[in-house]
Amino acid sequence: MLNINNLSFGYGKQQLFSNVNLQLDAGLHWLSGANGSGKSSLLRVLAGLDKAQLGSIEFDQHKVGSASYQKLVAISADAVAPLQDNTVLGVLQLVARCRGTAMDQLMLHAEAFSLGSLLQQQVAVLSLGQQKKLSLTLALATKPQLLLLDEPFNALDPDSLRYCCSQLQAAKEKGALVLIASHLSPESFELAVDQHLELKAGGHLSFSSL
Amino acid sequence: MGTYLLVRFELFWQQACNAFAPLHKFSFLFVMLAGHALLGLMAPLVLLGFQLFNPELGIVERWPYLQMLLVILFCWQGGVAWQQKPVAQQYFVESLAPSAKVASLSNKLMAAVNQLPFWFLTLPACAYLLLSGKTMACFDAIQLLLVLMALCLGFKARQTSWLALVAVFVLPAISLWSLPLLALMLLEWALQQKLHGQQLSAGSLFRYWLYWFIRQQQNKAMVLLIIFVQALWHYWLEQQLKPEAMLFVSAVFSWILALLCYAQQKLWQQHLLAQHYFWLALCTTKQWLVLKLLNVLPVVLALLLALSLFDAVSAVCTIALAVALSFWRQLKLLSVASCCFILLLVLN
Repeated sequence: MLNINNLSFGYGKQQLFSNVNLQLDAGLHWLSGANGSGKSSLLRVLAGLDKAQLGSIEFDQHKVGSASYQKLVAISADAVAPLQDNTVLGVLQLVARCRGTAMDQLMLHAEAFSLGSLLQQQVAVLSLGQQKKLSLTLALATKPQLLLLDEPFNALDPDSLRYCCSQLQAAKEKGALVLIASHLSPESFELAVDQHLELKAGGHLSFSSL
Repeated sequence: MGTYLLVRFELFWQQACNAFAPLHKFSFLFVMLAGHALLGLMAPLVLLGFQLFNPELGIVERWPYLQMLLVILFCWQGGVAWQQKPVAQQYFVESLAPSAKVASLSNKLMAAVNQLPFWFLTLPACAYLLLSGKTMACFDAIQLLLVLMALCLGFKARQTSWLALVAVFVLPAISLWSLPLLALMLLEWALQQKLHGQQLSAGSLFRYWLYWFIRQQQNKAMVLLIIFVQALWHYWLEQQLKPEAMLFVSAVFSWILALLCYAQQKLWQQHLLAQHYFWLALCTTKQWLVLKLLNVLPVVLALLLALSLFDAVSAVCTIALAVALSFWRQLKLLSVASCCFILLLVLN
């Protein structure tokens, strides 16, 4: 499904990873690595938010950045923050308009994440956990085929954590490719992870045993 | 694609409205005062237009007007940076784009919309200079376009160059005025590239503040505006006006200057507020107080300049107003103060 060939990326003179090659099929994939190894950057490059210096990315034969690719991808990350000067409802409506997602679908996830009573609140005044829930709501509701999550479980309360895990499991069963970047161990969660990847300095990817 | 572009425009508009939101807290009378201040600014601007386009003037005579235009341009460049969203929110907006091409196109479109008043101000000036039929005027127009291109295309961060600011004020009236200006802008750009990622050491609170001050585009724009307003004030004071008119002009410019100083201080206060608990955890009470007071430095410099240029009474008024505005939290009380001020003017 996801084909990454000779991918290189860096900021200025600092090369984060080079010549990364990876093929991933549908399922739950766990990506770990030390601070600064490039996990978050890799997710942003896969989401088409940052441009790779070299290499190619394809998902189901769709090239990264193309309209058909962007339709299939969704990302939830701290580095991709919903607009702070808008209300929660405003952000949900914005995503509904841009991604063509039904408002019911967005509200369903928002209610499950206990955001229902916060719809008129400004995003800026939400707590860290609430902002995380909003970000996850936006990513999950669009029902993507390629779901990219950067530290999705940070700051979540137990109920929200359970709901999040169940939704990721459901996405996997529906044939989506879920890539989770996290420092934590996948064994700590109720998730049937298919593959554990470790990103080391310089972009060396290794497969760890589960 | 259409929906996304519409959304981007709505977000731009919302951001522009938010930028002026603090003004809503001021009373109607205060807005009237701002209107008067604007009138005070408009007259010299119209004059600037007439004189800049005057084909009878030589380069030496036209230089002060070119200088004013360049300052306005640099101010605008800093103002554009003001409206940019933090990187994380920019990523969010781009993640909603239907494709990478549309995201890139909409970014360019928004940058162009941001720059519209900039072109509105400059292109007529260039066209008029080109059509004036005078060789020197055409020469100026080409140089102006050159500087504009460097500002809009060559500087991704829409930066206002400190060195260029210095150049505008210290360059002698030479024919090839754009060349040293461009050279200094490029030099600053190169220095910034070299220093990229190597943050200056924040070993002391003063150095920390200085680093913040230099890096913020808004600060450059604000300092330029303060200098610009002082230059306009100076121009008006040199006119042969009645004492009543002089009093009005002085009052209006005192207020503008004080408001600009206030806005300058607010930027630092906002920066401190964003990291309120970090600083509280890190600093002693004395250091926290010093941090809050540090931003008085540019205001003090601006006011020293005002003291050297204008009469003592005006300068003292400005100082009093700037200090009151900077440290007074209740904006409604300020409105009452402004009413009293207007009353005083009328009685005079």
